[in-house]
Amino acid sequence: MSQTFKNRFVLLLLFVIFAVLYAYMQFQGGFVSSFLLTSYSVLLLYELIFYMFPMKGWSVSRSFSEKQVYAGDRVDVNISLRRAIPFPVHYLLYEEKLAESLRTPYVSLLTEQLTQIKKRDVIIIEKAPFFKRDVTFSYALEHIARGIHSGGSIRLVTTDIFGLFKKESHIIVDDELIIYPRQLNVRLASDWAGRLLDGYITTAKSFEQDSVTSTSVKEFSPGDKLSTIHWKQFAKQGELMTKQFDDEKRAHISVALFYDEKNASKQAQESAIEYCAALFNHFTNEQIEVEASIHYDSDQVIRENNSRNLLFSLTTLSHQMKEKRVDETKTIQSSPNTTFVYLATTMNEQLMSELKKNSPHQDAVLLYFSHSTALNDEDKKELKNLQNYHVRVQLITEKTFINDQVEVKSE
Amino acid sequence: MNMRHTAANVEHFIIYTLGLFLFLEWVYPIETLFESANVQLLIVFLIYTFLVTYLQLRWWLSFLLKAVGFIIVINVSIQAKQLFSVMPLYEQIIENAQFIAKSNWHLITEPFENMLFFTLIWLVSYLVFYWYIVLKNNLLFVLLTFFYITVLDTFTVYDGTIPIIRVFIFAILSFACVRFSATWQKELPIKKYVRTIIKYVLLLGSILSIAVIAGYIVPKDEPAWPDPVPFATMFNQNEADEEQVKKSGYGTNDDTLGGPFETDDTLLFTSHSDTKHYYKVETKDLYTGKGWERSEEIIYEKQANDSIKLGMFDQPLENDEKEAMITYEDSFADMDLFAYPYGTTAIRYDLNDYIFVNQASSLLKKRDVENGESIEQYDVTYREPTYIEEQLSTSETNEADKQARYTQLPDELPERIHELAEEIVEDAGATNTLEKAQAVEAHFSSTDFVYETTDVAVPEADEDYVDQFLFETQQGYCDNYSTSMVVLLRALDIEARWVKGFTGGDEVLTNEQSDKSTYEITNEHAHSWVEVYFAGVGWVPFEPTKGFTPDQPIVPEDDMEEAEDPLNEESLDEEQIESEEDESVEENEQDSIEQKDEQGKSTILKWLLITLLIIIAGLTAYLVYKRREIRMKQLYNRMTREQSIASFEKAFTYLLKLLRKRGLTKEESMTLREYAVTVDKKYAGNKMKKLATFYEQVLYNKGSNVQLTKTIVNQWKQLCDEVIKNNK
Repeated sequence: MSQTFKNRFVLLLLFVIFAVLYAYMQFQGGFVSSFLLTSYSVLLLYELIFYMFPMKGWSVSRSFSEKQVYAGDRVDVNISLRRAIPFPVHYLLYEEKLAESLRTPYVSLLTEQLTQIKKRDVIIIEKAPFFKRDVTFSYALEHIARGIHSGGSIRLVTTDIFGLFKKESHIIVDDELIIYPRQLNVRLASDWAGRLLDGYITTAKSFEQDSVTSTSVKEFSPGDKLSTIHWKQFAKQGELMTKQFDDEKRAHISVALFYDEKNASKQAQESAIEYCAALFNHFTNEQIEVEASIHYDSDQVIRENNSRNLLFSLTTLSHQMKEKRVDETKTIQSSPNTTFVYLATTMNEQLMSELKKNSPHQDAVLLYFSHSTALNDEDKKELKNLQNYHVRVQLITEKTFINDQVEVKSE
Repeated sequence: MNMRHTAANVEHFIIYTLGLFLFLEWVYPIETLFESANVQLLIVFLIYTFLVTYLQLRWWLSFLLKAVGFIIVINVSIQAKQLFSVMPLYEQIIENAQFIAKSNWHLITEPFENMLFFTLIWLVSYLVFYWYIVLKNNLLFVLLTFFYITVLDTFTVYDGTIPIIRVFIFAILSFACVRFSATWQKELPIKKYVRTIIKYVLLLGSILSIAVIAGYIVPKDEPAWPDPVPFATMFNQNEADEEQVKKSGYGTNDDTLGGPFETDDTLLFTSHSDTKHYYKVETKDLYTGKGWERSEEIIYEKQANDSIKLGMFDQPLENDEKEAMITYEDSFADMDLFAYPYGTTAIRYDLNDYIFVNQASSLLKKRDVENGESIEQYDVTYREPTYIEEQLSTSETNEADKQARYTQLPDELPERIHELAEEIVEDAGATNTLEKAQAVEAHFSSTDFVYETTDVAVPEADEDYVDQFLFETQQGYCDNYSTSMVVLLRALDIEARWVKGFTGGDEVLTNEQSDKSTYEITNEHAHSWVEVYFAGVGWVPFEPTKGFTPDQPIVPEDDMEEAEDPLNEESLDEEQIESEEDESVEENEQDSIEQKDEQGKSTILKWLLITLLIIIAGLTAYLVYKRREIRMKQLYNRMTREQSIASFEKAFTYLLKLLRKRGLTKEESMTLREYAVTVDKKYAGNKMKKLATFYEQVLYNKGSNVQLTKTIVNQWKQLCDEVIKNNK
């Protein structure tokens, strides 16, 4: 039964009672009947005013506590409502059916250690504004999931003092809430870094020892490393020049994320995304040239070499918004100096073909994300076989996480 | 204590207290209506039961507390020495059960009445709790309360002026608070709750005050529409449409007779009387061809009310005086004429001086009708007339003495009626007035005539009412028969008139200790018959209507003497009779004092018992409907309390029984685990498997330390819940 129909039924009932009391008054006369009729009429009048009162003149706006929010964080949402006419209302219900993407809270391998978080569907806030014109509803979304969240429907319900009529007003809010992947601090274990970044370190050393190997110089611009300043040139010419190196001599890292929404667990997936962002940022900060590629949907690839763009791509990475970005299919460029870091949650064909392709001359690490319980012996065997492709495999499970700081090390 | 919990408690308390106040309004009027009722005690018991219910103790504890309270108040009400004795209660029930079985309502004892009220209060305390706290909807209770007060105010002496204001305030407040509590989906924290409810009550209070003040100061009008009660019970033939179905009953307008009527058993008056007899109200003399009118205006003469002369009898009546006490119901309230038996000599009512009498139409009217006061109750003294055949047959009226108004016939009366009258007399060989009258009376008992109420014709514009009945339809009710007989007699030049009144009614109760019986006269007993004038005797009633027996038969003189004889013989043992008479006189006196009370009382008692039965039936139905939940709760409570393996075994067996009733039977071939799998498939989960595993442990490790854990108990409860709910 719809609310409108219910309201009309109640209205009819109220008039029937009025008719009965009126007839009673006409037949009986005297105090009791007149008193009942008059007093009832006053209440009926109030109910009629409430029934006719429009809810349309109400303006609603929504705001979030922070502009940039990361997955797993808490967001405070504030809804302010302004009523045109302060008709006394003792009950006002704010009911928001959350957007589908907001209903499931954030999970990653890390959250395994947190207590279980309940699924939430509807936010219900009740207020008693009485004569107040401005009403604020605020609620917090804890453990918010990554993604761009929009949609959801908001309903305002109010009722008269006897709760006979229920009046509803539906509000459409078209704001977006962008939740970035959770930020991880990555610290590379020394041996891992040593081996992985061999090329980089040796290159840097040889450069420092033998400046002749530099192919050219260019004018110093702010941001260049002090160590690359061609001091000899400066002595000669009095101008600050920096040394330029050949491309093939420079260390190059390619971070490749294999996103397999269908087969992998949500937790592993989320952790892989977070690692991807964290590693990219780490290498960028270390001034190592790094490129990221996201492989998804068996043949789609997104390529990013800017950490902001990558973050955005990773944010939108979920099947609800796959149509948002389509990149040309490209394979990872392999130059002899490129070091590959693969992040995968399943051993799908996309990953295998990439491994095969790059196998002859690569120096690669595969970070494999999974629940420790989800790995069976066969999986482990397969992972071991990957060594044929010159890949060192590191398994990352919920046990890897000791604290917020993540240590990456080879076995 | 948890803050939220407190808020809920405050809410319960407010709501429940308002419910208590509203229910008290049901008890206050009892004092006015039942003098015997001990209202103070009722109120004490009411508050006590409400308090016990409010505490929400274990059901058996609360039942026990209420039962103890019940016994104490019963013992207090009968002033017993022992407060905790059950014997008085038992005696009362045994004593009164037989009165109820025999419908002797007036014999029911006062303590038993009080007991009924106590029981009602006890039961209603559950109902109020159910409406207010469980259902969170007290609309029905609120409406019933209004209905109760308005009905009492309208139909009884109870004055609802102040109570209706109280009821209005409590009803609206309690309705609003229940709705308030049902509206909020979440429980408010206590501080916020208090703040909100204060503001809410202020808002509600201001609207309510406006309503109450407006209701109080608005000028009170007299009723603008006519009283619906007589309107519904009496049919008005002025408006009689040809097709209209009339209701049986007593009407004053008879100028258009005919047409069907519906039977209507509205009680008009009751008579507590020595004998069963007809009640005469009026006579009419002018036949128009369509119905009856009066030939002259009614002029009343004053007569002393203890020696009424209606001009009915030419000789003084000799039989013993008899008494009848007649009580008019509200449905008969606008009747300003007395209904009286043949031979009435005195009528006593509140003003014992004189009454208005009209001899021509045999009317007895209350003296001061201008006040608009209706007749409520009066005592009639009458001497039953005896009509002796010999006297009647020798009676001769001189042609000159005949009054033209009693032999009047319309000029348009068809000739064949005269012919028929002559024919009847000839066939019977009747010579004197009595024989002629008896011949005409007997004519209607022939098989040609049928008693019929529904398929009764209305004469066409050019048709005579009697002619149509005698020659065409030959089916009808008393008006057809009586009118036809009068017309036939008048056609024979015999003085006759048409009488209206009531037949003797239904006997409702016989007081064995008294000679009197109580008769109820309803609209169905409205009747008309014939009176024929015999010079020297007076007006003698005749009963032509098929299926009715005459009020006073005409008897031969010999029979008269015989009839008197047994009375004489009875007086052999005079002492005995005297003592019996003394007793009966005493009883009678008592009776008449309490009579008025008893009339209303027996109806209220009847309703009280019916209400009790309905409530008991409702509660039983509810318990039966909820029996599974109740049993489950019991088992659950036992498990949490005892934490014993035995309690689990019982609970598990119950679960298996529930499942079997849902069509999930464990086949012989199935192991318990296999069965658990099928159950879990249906009720999504693995609860049954866990329970079955635990049960097996219990079975195979009897005596060893298997512990009943909370998880298991909860699993059991959840699964039971699902199984019970899924079927509904």
